[in-house]
Amino acid sequence: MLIIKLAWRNLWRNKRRTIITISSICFGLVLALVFIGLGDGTYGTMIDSAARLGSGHITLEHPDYRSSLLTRLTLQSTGEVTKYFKEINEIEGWAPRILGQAMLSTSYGSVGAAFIGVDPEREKENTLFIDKITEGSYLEHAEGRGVLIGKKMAARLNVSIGSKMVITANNLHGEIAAELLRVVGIFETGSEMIDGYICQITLKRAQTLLAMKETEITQLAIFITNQRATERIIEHLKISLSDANEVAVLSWREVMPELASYVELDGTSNYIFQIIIFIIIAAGILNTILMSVMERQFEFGVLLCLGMKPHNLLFLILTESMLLGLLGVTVGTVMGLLCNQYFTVKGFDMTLFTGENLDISGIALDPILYSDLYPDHLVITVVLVFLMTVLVGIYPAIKATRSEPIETLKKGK
Amino acid sequence: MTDIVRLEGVTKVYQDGKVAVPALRGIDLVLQKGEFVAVAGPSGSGKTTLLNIIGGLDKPTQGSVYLEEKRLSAMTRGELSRLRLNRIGFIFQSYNLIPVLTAFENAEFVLLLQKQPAEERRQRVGNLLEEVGLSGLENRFPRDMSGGQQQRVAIARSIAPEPALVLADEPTANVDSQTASELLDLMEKLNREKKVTFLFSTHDPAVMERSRRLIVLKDGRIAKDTLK
Repeated sequence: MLIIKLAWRNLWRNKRRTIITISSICFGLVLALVFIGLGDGTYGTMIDSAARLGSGHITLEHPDYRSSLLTRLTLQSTGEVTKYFKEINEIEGWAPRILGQAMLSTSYGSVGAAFIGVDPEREKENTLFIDKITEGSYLEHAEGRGVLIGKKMAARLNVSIGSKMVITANNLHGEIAAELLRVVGIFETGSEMIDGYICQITLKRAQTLLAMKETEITQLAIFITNQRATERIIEHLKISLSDANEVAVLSWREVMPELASYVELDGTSNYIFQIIIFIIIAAGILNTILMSVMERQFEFGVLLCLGMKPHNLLFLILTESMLLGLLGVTVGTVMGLLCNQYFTVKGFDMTLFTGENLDISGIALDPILYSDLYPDHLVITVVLVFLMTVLVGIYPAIKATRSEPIETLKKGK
Repeated sequence: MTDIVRLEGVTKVYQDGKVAVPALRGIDLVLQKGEFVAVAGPSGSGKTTLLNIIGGLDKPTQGSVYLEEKRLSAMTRGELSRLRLNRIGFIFQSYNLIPVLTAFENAEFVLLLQKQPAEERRQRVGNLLEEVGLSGLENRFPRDMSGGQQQRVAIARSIAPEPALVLADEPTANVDSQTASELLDLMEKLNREKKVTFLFSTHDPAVMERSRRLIVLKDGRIAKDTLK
């Protein structure tokens, strides 16, 4: 108690210096929490958008499909597989898909495209394409000939809602097959690749085009409520599906390795940036504590003279650092959370730097970044900043305890 | 009477670059329990060095120092720290109170380090502050007290743990003659009533006058040792 009382009062001997130090800890923590929150929010949005525009958070497909992209490597009888989804609360939906490469032709011209055969009813619950439709509507009839294309592709083929086009692809027998389609909707995601290359047709039309059986699909896209639970759900599914030989369970990281690398690389560069900020702040705190220790050498001499043990002196200075850290971290956490709350609601407008369209790694993003600070990141950052202030106090504390009382008393005279 | 302090052939030589500066030259001295001793001498005669060596703050170059028959040079840093905490009280010329603690807390400080029970501390410090004439000033911080009042707190702090010996380095040097006389009255009273052994260094003839034993140092040697 004596040490804590002494340390607390010592802190307030030089109010201005203490307030400046607390402010710098606070500033560093707020900056870190805002960056981490925006990073978590952005990565979360990117992953979620990419999953909902692409192959889901988790993808089930034939084990060899990813390496060869052969259309004949299909999943059979998915009803057996989907029954396990009910056991997992986080799974909010799934959608069977058929993927393939094709040629789209109109009287104006032809373009190469990737098509996705979808079940419109299942997709409506999960896909983001519906929100991105700028003209027309989403695919309505499971058996229909509707096609949903991107704005750029529509411009290339000079088509509009109601226009006819022909899709041509190699079917499972190696023959060239074609189907007549009618444009029912045009979407704009902001991504050059998606808007200019992807189209959606119904699952039935794709099966007919490729001469597939009704039970055959290329992949099953699974959508979950929280993308951070991906790995846990995958483990669960792998155990449940351990008897199924022809099913691979993949995370979005494996399906979209460029996105995973981007998230990892950008996250790492963010951490490096934060470490640099922390080092600068730590140097400031070290300077403050060291100054306050050097100023009080004589006083420490007196304390040692009176019989205070060196380890008590060490504890006194460490307690001062801890109290400084505790104050800075408490105020910084409150302010950091308030800032995060602001950016969660209002967002951080990037249009000044990026223009209206923000496309990262082929993923179209809202240029307003929203914060979503994960609780574990909050705890880790706060603990790290606190530990940093305590660590920074160790050197001055050791320095103080090494002084001989007689020497410090002589210097003070 | 019991020996509190015994010095045998104590020499202290400081090194100033390549020049050896002797501060004490072969001091033999015995202090007995309950003595009220002044060490006098001109500046540089070795008064402070003598007090520092007896207090275990400095080590002699040669010779031995015993406090209650324990040889200080054989003690570790921790043992010396414990010895100062439990057996020696210090009074400094410039009081050296802890600025962030009140008068009561300053006087209580050493007892807290000794881990004395709260009730015992409260009672002992309360009585002591009354004895040194600081009743009603318990909650004042050093910055709000005069030099004389601060030195009274320092005296209370030095005798609170009931030490075997109180070392006072020119305790009246920073106060006026009236306050100096009052402080001496106080130390004399504590010496008489509580049998606390005092050893203080001084320049002040009035202080020398009040001591019951006067040791005069000259060039690091005892020039005179008078029992009054």
